[in-house]
Amino acid sequence: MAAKKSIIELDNVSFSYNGEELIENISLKIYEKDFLGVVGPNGGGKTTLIKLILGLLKPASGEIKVFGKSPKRGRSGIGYLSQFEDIDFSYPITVEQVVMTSTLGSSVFRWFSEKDKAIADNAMKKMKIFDLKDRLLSELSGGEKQRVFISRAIASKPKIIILDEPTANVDIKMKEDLYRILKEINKEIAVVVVDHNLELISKYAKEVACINKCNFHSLGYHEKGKEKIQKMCDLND
Amino acid sequence: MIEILSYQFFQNALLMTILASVASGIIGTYIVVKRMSMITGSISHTAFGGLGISYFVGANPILGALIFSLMASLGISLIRKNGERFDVMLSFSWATGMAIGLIFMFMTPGYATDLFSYLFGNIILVSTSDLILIAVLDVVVVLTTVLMFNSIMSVTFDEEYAQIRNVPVSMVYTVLISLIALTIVMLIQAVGIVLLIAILTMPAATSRIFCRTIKKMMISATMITLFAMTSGLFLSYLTNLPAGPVIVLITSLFYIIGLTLDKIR
Repeated sequence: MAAKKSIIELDNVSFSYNGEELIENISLKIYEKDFLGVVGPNGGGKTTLIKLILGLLKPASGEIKVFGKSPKRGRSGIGYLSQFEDIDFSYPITVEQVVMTSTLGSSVFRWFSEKDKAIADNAMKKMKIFDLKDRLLSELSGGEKQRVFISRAIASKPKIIILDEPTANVDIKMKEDLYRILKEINKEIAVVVVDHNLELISKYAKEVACINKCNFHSLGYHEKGKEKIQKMCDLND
Repeated sequence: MIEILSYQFFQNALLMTILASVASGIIGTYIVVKRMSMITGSISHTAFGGLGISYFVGANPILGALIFSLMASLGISLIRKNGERFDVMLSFSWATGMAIGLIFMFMTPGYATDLFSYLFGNIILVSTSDLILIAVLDVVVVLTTVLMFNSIMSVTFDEEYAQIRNVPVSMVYTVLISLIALTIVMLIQAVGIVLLIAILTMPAATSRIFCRTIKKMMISATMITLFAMTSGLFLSYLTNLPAGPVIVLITSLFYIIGLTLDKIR
């Protein structure tokens, strides 16, 4: 097998909050075009792991490299989908505006250019929501909202996309659709998805990692499968 | 009715309503959308501390209010993320500012009538020099929001995502809260420290019911504020009632009508 290039590296990373150890000595490498499913019980540290990678939290010990740099310097190459509960859906903002926020950078006096518009248009077309672009975010269904946030993530032209429980608020049909979209995206960039849905994870992810505080295992391509994951992670689905 | 328009003080008051409406329509929209009315109340009452000190030493009270409200907005921005301490900070700043202001006013002879107009407004007393200061503040508020419209939208909609995209989130928030402070200072003369929260929330909240986007909300809130302030001004002249409370009641009426229409549609 040809040597793959790692894009995210965690080396012996620990993190605790209010004296409670949430993550202990985790090492992990994510390579180009990986499709990694992350599973684990609630409160097991899945979201914490993502926030560490994004530089939103600082590890107590260990080192994190994103594209060979610190998370803060490297994170602009990551497309990110947060959990729905972190989003204020009542905010009066259109679909197009949501997607365009991805093109803003560190300059605060920036107006959207034609190029930004083109990038956003492209992302919305890819996700088949271009005809919704003038609609308000609050008027959309769960599945449509999810497509908006994937559009926003790809509009940042990432080399990897990280999704935190993307199927939590969408109907059954959309769940499978979502994974098909991710499979498409995965042809070009790496995908990391945190999810409870072992069925879909085992069907689509190339690798599965389980995180439960100090326990961290990962299963390779051939070992995955719902039962194996369940057993490995001590999950009762 | 018409002859009142020929008086300088009334022209000043009218000009003041126009200037104040634009800034408060814009900033009020952010206050409503981001649920920052407690922050607004806190900054406006803190401003009274600076106002009292300036009054005591014989400086322009608006300048003192400006300094204190900017200090408050900086403090609030700094500990914005610290939930419990943040909440206490709002009350601390609110009450401490009020107490400082009251003590300094109390120490100045003949304070009683002025105290009343700072607390509840006296738009008729706007001087030409006040107007110039207010016009400058207006330009700063409008220009900053226009230039920073997208970064403010990005940060107020989804702060975490903005941070990942390397938008300077803390800086944008500090600017936004400082703009609230500037707008508060503009409104002190018109409706007073205690009542200005109504001007900064009711018109925008009414607009929120009917407008789909931030820009439309800003325009609508500006129109409502302008209408409330000018009609309040005339009404107070006709009825001989204080303008501040009359203006506030008109904005409240707008909000009640908005809520009712929203219920029945």
